[in-house]
Amino acid sequence: MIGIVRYIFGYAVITVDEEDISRAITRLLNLKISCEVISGGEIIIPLFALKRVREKLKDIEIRSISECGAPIHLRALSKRRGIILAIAVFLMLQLLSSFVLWDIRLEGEFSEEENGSILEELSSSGLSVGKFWLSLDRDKIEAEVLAKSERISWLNINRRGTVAYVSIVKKEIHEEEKKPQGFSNVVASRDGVIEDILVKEGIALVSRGESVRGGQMLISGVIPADKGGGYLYAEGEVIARFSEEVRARATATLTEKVYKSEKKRDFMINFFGLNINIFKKYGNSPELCDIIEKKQDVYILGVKLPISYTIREICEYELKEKRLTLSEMTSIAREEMEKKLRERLDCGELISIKTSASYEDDYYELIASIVMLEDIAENKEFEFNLE
Amino acid sequence: MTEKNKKRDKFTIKPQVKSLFHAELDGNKNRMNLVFSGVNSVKDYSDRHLLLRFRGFYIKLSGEGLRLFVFEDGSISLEGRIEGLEFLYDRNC
Repeated sequence: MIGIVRYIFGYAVITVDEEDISRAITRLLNLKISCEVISGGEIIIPLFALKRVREKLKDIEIRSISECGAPIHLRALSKRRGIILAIAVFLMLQLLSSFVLWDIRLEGEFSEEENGSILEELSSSGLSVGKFWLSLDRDKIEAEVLAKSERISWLNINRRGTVAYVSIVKKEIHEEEKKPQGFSNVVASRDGVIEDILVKEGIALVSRGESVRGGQMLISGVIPADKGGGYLYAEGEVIARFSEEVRARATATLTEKVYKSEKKRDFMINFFGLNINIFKKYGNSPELCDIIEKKQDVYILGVKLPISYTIREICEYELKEKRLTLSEMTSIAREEMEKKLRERLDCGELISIKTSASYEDDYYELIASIVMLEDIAENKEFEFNLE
Repeated sequence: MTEKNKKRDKFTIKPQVKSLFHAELDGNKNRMNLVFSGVNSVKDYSDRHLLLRFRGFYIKLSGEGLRLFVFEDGSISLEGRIEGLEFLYDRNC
């Protein structure tokens, strides 16, 4: 701390003979001038006291005086106007940058996609990165966005430093379940044995334990005359048991990508929404290639700057045929089978599963025989002409 | 007051005016910081010893890496590894 203060106000190091040092210190002590004594006859004194010290230590031989600190450096700099101008411009830019909006952060529960469209709405109303804070009328922007947007019910723009924090409350849209219009029957979507039936609307035409065929009517939307007559939109759940085979096949040959060793790169800087292409090592992208794009925001001390850069890598490849070993085929077929079963069991309940495999020269196949329960009710609308 | 008492009073440091010295020990560095007030002059100084003259006595300090600071209020601070402190009484000083 002493060092910083000393540098700011400037200091001088005077060197006296070692036999005179105690005399010099006593003189400074009597003059009440603060100083630091370094061994070797060096005394550090404040720069402003140098003139007085010179006068009072006339009878002591001062071997050398060196002046240091910020005032000395500034004095040296005063001859270099370019540096002073650069410092002045830097300070001015620093001051001006605090009036610029550097980032917009949304506070509210929105998806990435929604965030993007809200930022666009804000931008169209005048709130965008790079704008001057003084030119922004926050109340007007809030009112304009609220009037335009269909999904925002409340909005508040707060300023914290150079960042705009936009608090948003989403409009809650309660959609009432629409009652289906028209008339329909419920038919079986596939063959099976009925395990359970729940009729919401209509007349059940099948009962538990009964075998049904795909397309067979299960719940009728036509009310017989003895039950009042009429037509309605039949609804219900019909749980049926059925068996089926799931197959997963891995072929012995596989087409794989072989990447070329050279990668083409493209470096782009985005400054206040303006894309600047710094370098590009290729013309048009080749037909067979993967493009990896990496966008990175730039932060200084945790503050996001309105600058981002994008690095795009073009990885060219060739397609080549590859002969798989049995273990590779097994692994591919197993992965495929797991994927298919997961999809299949998403909408039903598995009762039993039996797996077998077959291996030929050009393929390996896994066959799973499954028995499961599933809702096979499917609405089939019909038209009724009153004439 | 008799002449003898007057003379004795001249050599007495009044504790209510200022404390003679204040010491602070920096245990980690095995260094000490001593602040003296009422110093009349520095009689001898090097980085291994210091002789301070007060009214009526001397203080002799020895040690290693001694750094001396003089403050505007006339006090003196000594920083370093202090190994010895000795009071030397001399009516003539």
